[in-house]
Amino acid sequence: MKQMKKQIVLFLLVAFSLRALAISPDSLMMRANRAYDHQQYDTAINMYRQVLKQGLVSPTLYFNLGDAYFRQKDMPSAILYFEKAKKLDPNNPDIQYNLNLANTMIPDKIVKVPKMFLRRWWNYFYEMFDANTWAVLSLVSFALFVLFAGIFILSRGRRNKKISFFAGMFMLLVSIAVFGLASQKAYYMRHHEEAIIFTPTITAKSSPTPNSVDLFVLHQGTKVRLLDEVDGWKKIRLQNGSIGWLPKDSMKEI
Amino acid sequence: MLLIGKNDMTSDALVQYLLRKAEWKLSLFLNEIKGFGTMRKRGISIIFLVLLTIQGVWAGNNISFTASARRQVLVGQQFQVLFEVNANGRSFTPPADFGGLEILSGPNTSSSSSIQFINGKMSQSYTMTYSYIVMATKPGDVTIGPASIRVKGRRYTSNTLKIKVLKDNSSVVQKAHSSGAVPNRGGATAARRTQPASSTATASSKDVFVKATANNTRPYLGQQVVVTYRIYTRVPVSNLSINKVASFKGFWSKDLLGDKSTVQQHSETINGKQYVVAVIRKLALIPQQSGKLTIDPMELNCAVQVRIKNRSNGSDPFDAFFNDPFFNQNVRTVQKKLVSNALTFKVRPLPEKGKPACFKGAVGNFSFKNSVDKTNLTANDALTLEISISGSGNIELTGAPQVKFPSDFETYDPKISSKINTSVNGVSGTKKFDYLAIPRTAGDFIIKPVKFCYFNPKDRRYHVFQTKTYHIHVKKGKGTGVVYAAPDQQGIHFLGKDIRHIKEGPFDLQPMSNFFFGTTLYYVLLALPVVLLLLLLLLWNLFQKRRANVSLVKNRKAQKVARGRLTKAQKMKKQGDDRAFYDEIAQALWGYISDKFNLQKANLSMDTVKELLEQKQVDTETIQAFMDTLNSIEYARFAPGDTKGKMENIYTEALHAIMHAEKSLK
Repeated sequence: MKQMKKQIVLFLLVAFSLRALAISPDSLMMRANRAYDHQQYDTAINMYRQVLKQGLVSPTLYFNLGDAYFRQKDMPSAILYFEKAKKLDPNNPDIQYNLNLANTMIPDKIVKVPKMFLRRWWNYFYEMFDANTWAVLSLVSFALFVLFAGIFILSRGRRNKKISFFAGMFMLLVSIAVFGLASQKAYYMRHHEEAIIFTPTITAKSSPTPNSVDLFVLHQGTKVRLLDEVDGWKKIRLQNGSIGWLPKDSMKEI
Repeated sequence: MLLIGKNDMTSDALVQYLLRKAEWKLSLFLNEIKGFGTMRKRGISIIFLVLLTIQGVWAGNNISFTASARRQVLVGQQFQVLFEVNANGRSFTPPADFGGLEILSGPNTSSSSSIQFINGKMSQSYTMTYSYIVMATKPGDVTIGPASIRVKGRRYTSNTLKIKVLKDNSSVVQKAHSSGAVPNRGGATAARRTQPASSTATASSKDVFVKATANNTRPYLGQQVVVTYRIYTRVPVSNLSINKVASFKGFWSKDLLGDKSTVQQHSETINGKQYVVAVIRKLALIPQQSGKLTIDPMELNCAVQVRIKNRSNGSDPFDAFFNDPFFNQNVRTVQKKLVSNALTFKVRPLPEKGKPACFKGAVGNFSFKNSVDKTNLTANDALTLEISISGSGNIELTGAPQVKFPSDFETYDPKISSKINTSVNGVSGTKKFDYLAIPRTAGDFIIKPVKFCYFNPKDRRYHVFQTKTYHIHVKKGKGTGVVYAAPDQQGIHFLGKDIRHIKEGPFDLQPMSNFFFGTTLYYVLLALPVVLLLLLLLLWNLFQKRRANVSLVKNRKAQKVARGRLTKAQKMKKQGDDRAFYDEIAQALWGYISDKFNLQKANLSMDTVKELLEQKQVDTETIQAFMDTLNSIEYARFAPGDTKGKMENIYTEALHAIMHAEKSLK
């Protein structure tokens, strides 16, 4: 973890030195926040977006941008950025609160299908840390497994062997699980698996052609899960399990 | 003869009403008295006649069921068809065929009873009447079939009626006639006649017409418009009835004339001709949607009196009055249908620019007053905030302004009282809102300003009224205990919901794709413990191997070392150093075992040596010999004497023990 932090600091230092001429992103953020405080939400949004353009992200940035869009009554954008913030920082109560509030202000109300308990537990752990923490945890747990394996091989006494065998087995299981979580999270972070509908009203089709059967109507602000893509069409799944096809340009990926 | 009559005819009330209203009724009245003119109050007069008729019939205690109507009618004229029975009848079956007459209303049931005294003899009569109001649609002969009714178990059928329907502009000969015999009693005239007209005369649409006007055809949404229907006439007109009411689709309408029966009548000159003008209807209309809105024309029926005698036109109304049929017999009444013009409005939407948030649709010109009855009060005292809005416009449609009382105040829905005046110029009035609030806790509170917004179409701008900010000081209630009566705890009241505020730094900005998992570093770190473990195992193995080699060498060299020690001991013996001799011998034996079994000398004892040898399955003789040698050395070391021979013995014993042990351990 420390090593990673160091690496990040180093990275940031490089980034800053490269952008010595541009306004530093932190001061841009400060100025955007002041604009927000003075209810100049347009200016604030512009400034936040400039920070984004520099290739920098943070949960705070997404959160503030979402707030600014919320104030502008642009609910799809607000939800998009709250979701992005949540993606980076899954356990922040403020992000969750604002996202829930924004979700009450969109036309569609989709009832979630309750998941199986195993899936729920998996998700519970999955949401617990961000991707990098999970990666570090997977390293630690694997290293512990190797340690116990070493102890098992080298120890002489029966007792020692017994203890280290069970500890090693346990750590093996843990490290496999943590590795799975970390890889899933990393995949989730790298790929766009979800999207927010931006078209005010759109009809989901049964297949990726405009003249196929109309399945259901969605409105802006609704979150969908992306499953597949076929020339300009996305296969989507709603939280209630319904599946349909939507044009790619009707949504923005989280 | 005394006639006590009860009559609740549901006849054309509108006609009666309009008649009552019109000032031409004087001429009408005169007509009526004289018995001339068309059947204006035909309902009443027919009933009157019928009652007389029935009276005669009932005297003979016969049950009669008769149908009656006019013999001749005009196309488009409304008239009544009556079915009368002089007893309490049941299950009236209307005629199967009205011969193509249009039924406007009916059957309307009415009953009348009468008691009469003739020469001190009392008799009672009872009449049930089923009436229809019908209208002929095309000229020709019409036959109305018989109706039937059941009286005391017997069924009676009425007579059939034959009616002649004449064209509208032809001369009319009207005759009220009931088919039964009409007894001429009490001087009532049963039949009326208008004189047969020989010359043709009609009332042209120039002589009488209805015109609808609006004071503004391009109102804003919600702006009231006054629409007036006027009748223009140059000839006496009576019996005005509205046939088809104009529909005000897309408007909210309010009758401005109401019950006020004063009809303004004035004269007006149009194209050199003088007309008597009277307002029939006046409405305030408030458009409820923007765009093009049309009011369908209003249709009226009226009876127009046309003079047959050619006279000079352009007479004034007074002239018309004195040329009334009362004085001038050459007058004929013609039924006429009047149709007003349609009105088209282009309703403009309210401007979006500068529309305040508090705007809720009030359009007009308003004034605003507000007051609070007290600003210093004790807890649990009531407080009233009064807001009154007055002015002209759609005041009836304005809702109560939202008042935000402090949340510790108990509030109630406002009491709304409105005083709406309808005048010729439109709707105006005052709407008062009384907001009652009761502060439940002591403290200083603020009632935030209440806004009322409206659009004034005159200057085309939005106006905002605002109340003052009221500072309310609430004292604690005097220790009556009432204030503290309910010490129940309350949850926090949530006044609103909002997103959490934006966050300040540190912003912890990171490059977009800074993911640790899957990087080379990650895999290197993942592999590192395994590599370390392997390295450790390798080293451990090497170390073990080396240690094993050392013991092997020691094992091999054990005898040699022992022999070397023994040789050294011989040297010590020659030098006469007994102590060193014994030490060397002991070292030789102990060292041999230590090297052979790869054990530290310190860990060895007599017992362990015996055990180790037994483990290696050395025969007991050799073990015994080895142990004896060790024992004798120990003994000799601490009990010196006769040293030379003993030393020689011990030396050979040790030499033999090592040789034997070496043999067995190989």
